[in-house]
Amino acid sequence: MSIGIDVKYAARLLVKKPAFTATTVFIIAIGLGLTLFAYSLLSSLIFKPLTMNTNQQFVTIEGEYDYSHAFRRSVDPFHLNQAVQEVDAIDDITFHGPGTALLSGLDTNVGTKKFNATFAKWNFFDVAGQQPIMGRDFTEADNFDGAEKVIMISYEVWQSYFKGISDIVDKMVNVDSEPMRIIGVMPENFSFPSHAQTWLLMPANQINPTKPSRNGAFGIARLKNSSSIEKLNQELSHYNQKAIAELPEEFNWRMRNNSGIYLQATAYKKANSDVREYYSIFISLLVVVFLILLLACINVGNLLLTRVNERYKEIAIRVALGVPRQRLIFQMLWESIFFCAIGAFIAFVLASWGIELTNAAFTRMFAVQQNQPFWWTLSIDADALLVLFVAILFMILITGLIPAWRALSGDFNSVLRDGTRGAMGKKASQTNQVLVISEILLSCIVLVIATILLTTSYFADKADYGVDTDKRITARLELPLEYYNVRRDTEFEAADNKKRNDFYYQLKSRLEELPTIEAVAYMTQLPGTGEGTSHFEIEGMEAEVYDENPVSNNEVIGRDSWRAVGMHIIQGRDFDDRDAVVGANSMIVNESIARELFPDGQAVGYRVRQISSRGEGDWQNIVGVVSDSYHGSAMDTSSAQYNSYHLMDARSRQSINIAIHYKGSELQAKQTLFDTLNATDANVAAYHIQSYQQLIQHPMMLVTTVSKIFLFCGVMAVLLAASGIYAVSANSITQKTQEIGVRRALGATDSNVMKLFLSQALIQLAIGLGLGIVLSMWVIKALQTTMIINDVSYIIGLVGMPLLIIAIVLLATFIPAKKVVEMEPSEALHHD
Amino acid sequence: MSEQTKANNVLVELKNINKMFLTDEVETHALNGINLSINKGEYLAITGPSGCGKSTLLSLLGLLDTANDGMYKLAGHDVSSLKRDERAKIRNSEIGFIFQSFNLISDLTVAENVELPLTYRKDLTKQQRAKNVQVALEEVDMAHRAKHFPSQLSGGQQQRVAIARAIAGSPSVILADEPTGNLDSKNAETVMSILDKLHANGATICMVTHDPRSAARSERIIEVFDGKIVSDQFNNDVTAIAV
Ligand SMILES: Nc1ncnc2c1ncn2[C@@H]1O[C@H](COP(=O)(O)OP(=O)(O)OP(=O)(O)O)[C@@H](O)[C@H]1O
Ligand SMILES: [Mg+2]
Repeated sequence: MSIGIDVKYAARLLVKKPAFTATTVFIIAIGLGLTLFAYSLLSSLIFKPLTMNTNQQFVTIEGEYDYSHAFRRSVDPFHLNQAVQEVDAIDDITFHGPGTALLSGLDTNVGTKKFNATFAKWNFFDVAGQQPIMGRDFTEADNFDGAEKVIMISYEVWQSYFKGISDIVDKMVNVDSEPMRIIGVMPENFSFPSHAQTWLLMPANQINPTKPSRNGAFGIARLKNSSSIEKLNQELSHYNQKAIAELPEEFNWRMRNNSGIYLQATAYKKANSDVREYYSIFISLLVVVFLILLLACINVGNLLLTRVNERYKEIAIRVALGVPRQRLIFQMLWESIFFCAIGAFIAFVLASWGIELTNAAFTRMFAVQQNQPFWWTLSIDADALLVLFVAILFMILITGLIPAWRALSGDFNSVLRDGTRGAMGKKASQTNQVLVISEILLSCIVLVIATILLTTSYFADKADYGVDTDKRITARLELPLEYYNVRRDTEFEAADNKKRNDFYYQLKSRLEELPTIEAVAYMTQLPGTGEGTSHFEIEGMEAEVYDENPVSNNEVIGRDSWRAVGMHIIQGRDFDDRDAVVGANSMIVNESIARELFPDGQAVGYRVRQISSRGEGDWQNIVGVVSDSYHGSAMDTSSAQYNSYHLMDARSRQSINIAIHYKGSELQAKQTLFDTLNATDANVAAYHIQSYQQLIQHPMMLVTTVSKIFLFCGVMAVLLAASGIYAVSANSITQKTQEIGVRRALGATDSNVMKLFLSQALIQLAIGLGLGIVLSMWVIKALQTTMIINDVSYIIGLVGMPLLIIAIVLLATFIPAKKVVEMEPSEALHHD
Repeated sequence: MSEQTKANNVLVELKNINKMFLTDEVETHALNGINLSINKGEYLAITGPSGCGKSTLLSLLGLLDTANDGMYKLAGHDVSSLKRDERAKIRNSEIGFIFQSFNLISDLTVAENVELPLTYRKDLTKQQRAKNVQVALEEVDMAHRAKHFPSQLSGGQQQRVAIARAIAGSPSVILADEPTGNLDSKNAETVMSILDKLHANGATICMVTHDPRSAARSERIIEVFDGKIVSDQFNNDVTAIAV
């Protein structure tokens, strides 16, 4: 059997040259391993439609994504209910809103614990295509006036919190101090829509409003198999026109961008805020990995090509002996198949390892807030294996066909006649030119993108948020509604306000009396985290159109909060009693606002007010200017640098963030907070207690994780690029040994020969780098839409990397060329 | 001829040349105590069995390789211990090579191949180089193929171009290693008659051959055996013709 012989022959060649085999297999394993990993990552997180054991794809139906605040806009349930009647692509729609549920035992003897809750329409599990494993589903009747309040719990809550007791269904439990009946337990690992632990019904008037309302919800639907997201969006945009036209003027704020987009369908996974925010980073990862795969293919192709060159005479003899050319191609393909098979096996192991690390990173990342989307768990499934298989085929073709094409395009007769390679010299040098240029081109793009992302996330990680985070812990305080009423626009409002403030300030002074506590701050969002932007106008400097006014991030803060986070007043004064009275409307702005928007940087004494399409707020008096700090992650284009602060006393909050500057250990400080809180009011709970550093790193964790992947890609790309460029260039120079022998016989000096090679290298560099830089810029431009790339990253990427490649190419030219030059011409002439 | 004029006429002088190759710890004594002098205008054939050292001797003569010891004088100058670039310069101006396998550079046209050694000189203008190329190609009757690439030529034509390249820089000696080895008898005859013509016009030629008919056209035949010159005689027939 001829195949048997071919296989044996190929196998023997592999064993005979272990170093060659190892190098080749390693390069293949890197290329394939990264491909498999990247596919698993991106398909789990983004591209593979979410179907959840149904045969239909889930989509979200929400408002337009708000990139400047990085949040998903909810829509009116009234419109969702109406839309489902008008569109064809979906059968039913359900909707939900996020929240929390503070559970405490009633029938069961369990402590108080807070869980993620999803407030939903009663058809939620129906649309999700999942029924409880115990008990019953929500029904429309649960929604009727006077019906008993019910709650659905997850398998995990049942197992851990309720200790898995068998008669859990129908038990009563306190949910935020309201007794409710547990109607069922959902299956294991079910946490739809994202990270739900309990499910509750929305209030009836929010599920079925009879006219446009101020309520907000996120829609979910299952797409009919005969339809598509595009089709659904077409139908929705028809509906939107109608809905917008009929919308009472008081709801104009729903259409803030005036883009005519209201209800909008998105593939379920793509609607995730993290994915939306870092979409271009994910896409660049895809590009980088694909380029590395190509680079690996070319490197391996070149290695095999070198081998063909070594065996060129043997191949010529085989052709002369009448071996058909297809047979020879197959013989070379066998070799590639062997390499790729072994490489694929190692790639599988590498990718599994990477997936394990990434899963662990995700677990860490979402641990504090328990909000890992359930599909953010990577695994190698059947279609990942299919992709691996396709990648292997692709690799076999490229790596096998480069050498085969080359081997069979020569003139065998002349090879046999006189043993020179004159006849194939020209083809060979063309192949080599193309190889070197592609190596340079690919390396350039991969390295530029990888380093820019890497350095950007590095600097973001090291970013100075304008605050001191050392020896600070933070937490979120939530005042239970049953003890701290919120009765807006009523006679009780002022009393409610005072009760909340009294609690906050009492806690602050109790803490600050302790010797281990230096200072306490309250802020709605602490610098380094969540931001928002609203337009504001300065009295006497108003813009014609509201949205041509500057924007700033607004925070509500407690008195005497600056020192606890290491900020300080620069002009004017801090908030005090004068600002606590109703109607004082005092405000503090940060240094950037004062410096850039006010004459001579003097902002104190001016009046400003918030303004939007909905109208304008009250005039606020600027009483002070505080040092700059930054909200949001430093990598994010929406990160706020203009900040305005309002005093908590007048706008007291039901929940707020606390930052504590302590002495001693972090653990001790957390305990102190816990104890003092209990002593002040045992009903108030603190959540997400963590160090300030942890809090700041949190929004960056996804980027940090992805940038580790980029670091790995970058290191591999440098390795592949350097070894590849060297091998290709050395190979092309070695092939010219004989020609150099001739030239030197004719009197070429060392510098003549060097110049010959260097000028060739420079041409290749010019073409490869030229194209490479242009293509990289194009990718960077896409990246810039969602992230800030700082100047140092640009320089390292667009100047440093090309210089690195130039250095590699020059070395890869110089070293082999020197070897050829130092050879005796007589030896060079007989080189083959 | 007096001793004086004879000494002035000596172009190449080898004294006690030894050449040894080291491969895998095995020493091959390719040349063993070679003494040889060649006069200007001489037409010399080197013969001998395969592996006896003919090509090695020619490489040493052409400064393509260096001897392990011994003395080599070319046109009265000691060239045995020159630096790489100095040797390149001498090869360029004093020596023309003709190889068995032609060794034309496939990326370059016929004219560019012939011009190649001239481009390594600094004393020629572009016009002068073009003129030299034209003259050399006419000499071998290949001027009409100047723009072709080597792969478009027959073996005989390639070898004629190679000869043109060897003579384009008017070297003082032409070294040819089996110049007809890859050619059929008709093409071989053409090449040999070109060499005859060059010799008749005063060129010094040193040719390795194992073909007795080719050797018979030279003035002087040296026989090498096992790295030694075992016979050195004037070819009376040829001399008779030449005289
Ligand atoms: N670069 C080298 N390395 C090792 N040995 C060599 C080398 N070049 C030549 N030899 C050896 O030196 C000896 C003389 O070789 P040379 O090529 O001069 O023979 P030749 O007389 O030209 O033979 P042929 O007629 O077959 O061309 C041979 O034994 C050969 O194996
Ligand atoms: Mg020989």
